[in-house]
Amino acid sequence: MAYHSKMAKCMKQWLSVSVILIIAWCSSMTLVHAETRDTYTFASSAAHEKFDNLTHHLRCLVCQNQSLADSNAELAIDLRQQIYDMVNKNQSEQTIIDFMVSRYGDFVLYEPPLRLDTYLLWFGPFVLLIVGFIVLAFVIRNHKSTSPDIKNFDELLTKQSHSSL
Amino acid sequence: MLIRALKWLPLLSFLGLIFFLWQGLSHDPKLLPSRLTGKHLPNFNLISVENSHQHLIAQDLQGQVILINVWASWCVACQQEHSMLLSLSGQQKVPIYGLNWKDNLIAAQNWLQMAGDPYQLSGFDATGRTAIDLGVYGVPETFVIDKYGIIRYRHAGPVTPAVWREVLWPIIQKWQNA
Repeated sequence: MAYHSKMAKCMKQWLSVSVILIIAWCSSMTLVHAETRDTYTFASSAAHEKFDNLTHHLRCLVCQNQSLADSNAELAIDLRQQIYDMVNKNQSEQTIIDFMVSRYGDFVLYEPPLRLDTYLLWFGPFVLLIVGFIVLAFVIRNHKSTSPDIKNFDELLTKQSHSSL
Repeated sequence: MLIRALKWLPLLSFLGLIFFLWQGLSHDPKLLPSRLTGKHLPNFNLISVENSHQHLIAQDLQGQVILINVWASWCVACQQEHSMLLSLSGQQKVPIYGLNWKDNLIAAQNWLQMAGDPYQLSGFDATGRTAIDLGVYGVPETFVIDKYGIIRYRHAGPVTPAVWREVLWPIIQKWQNA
């Protein structure tokens, strides 16, 4: 009896954890995809790939959280044209990125560069996660030492059900 | 003891979060300093809105402190600052040049004819390429260029009397006397 209730409890916990994980996974999958209406033709598939890669990794500066590839803003259209022209002139990805950064700053990059002043940005979340785990470990340990012994508790329960019968 | 202190951690981190989010509300993400401050004015050679035979050329703008105002006839904020620009151009404190951005030439000409032209000359940036070289996000934006053709300041948004008095005019004076 005690064994079964424990099993059920365990199952329940696992079920709720997996539900949470599924929800988290689903929400991470819902990426917004806007359609843009450029009709660029490329000399090679490599050039096309370079263009796609660049426009997805550079920010539309005047939009809220959209890449150049996703935006129909006037500035984004101009910047796509600029990238297209540079790709067609066979300029390297780094040259094109440097061109953008020298005019619009790091803000144009979707991924901020890893530098001394961006360490907190990059590693802060992981530090917070570790702190969270440490706190969790403390709380669990504390909880175990103060909670009544499970075995005794089960005995108590059986006694009680017997008496109520 | 430690556990007791830990009890307050969620509340404290929550308050910390609130503090930073609150700060974020009053922070305008558009007020990024221009990457071009301290750099040379990029090269351009544009036909002017006022007269198709006259060009606005970057090299011609050296020798005195000037303002370059990025504008468009469709831009509401530009219309708001227009009377301010007109009065500044009347006072002749600093020559103002225009960069007409993402506009229709006829619409731009009509607007200047109707509302008055505060510019010495306005370059017509048909492709938007000059605006990209200047790192322009949108209209209106105003750049202070020194005697040597170096960009000293960029103001994003309309030039209001307060912006002129507290920001632009002191910077212009500084570089006029430099």
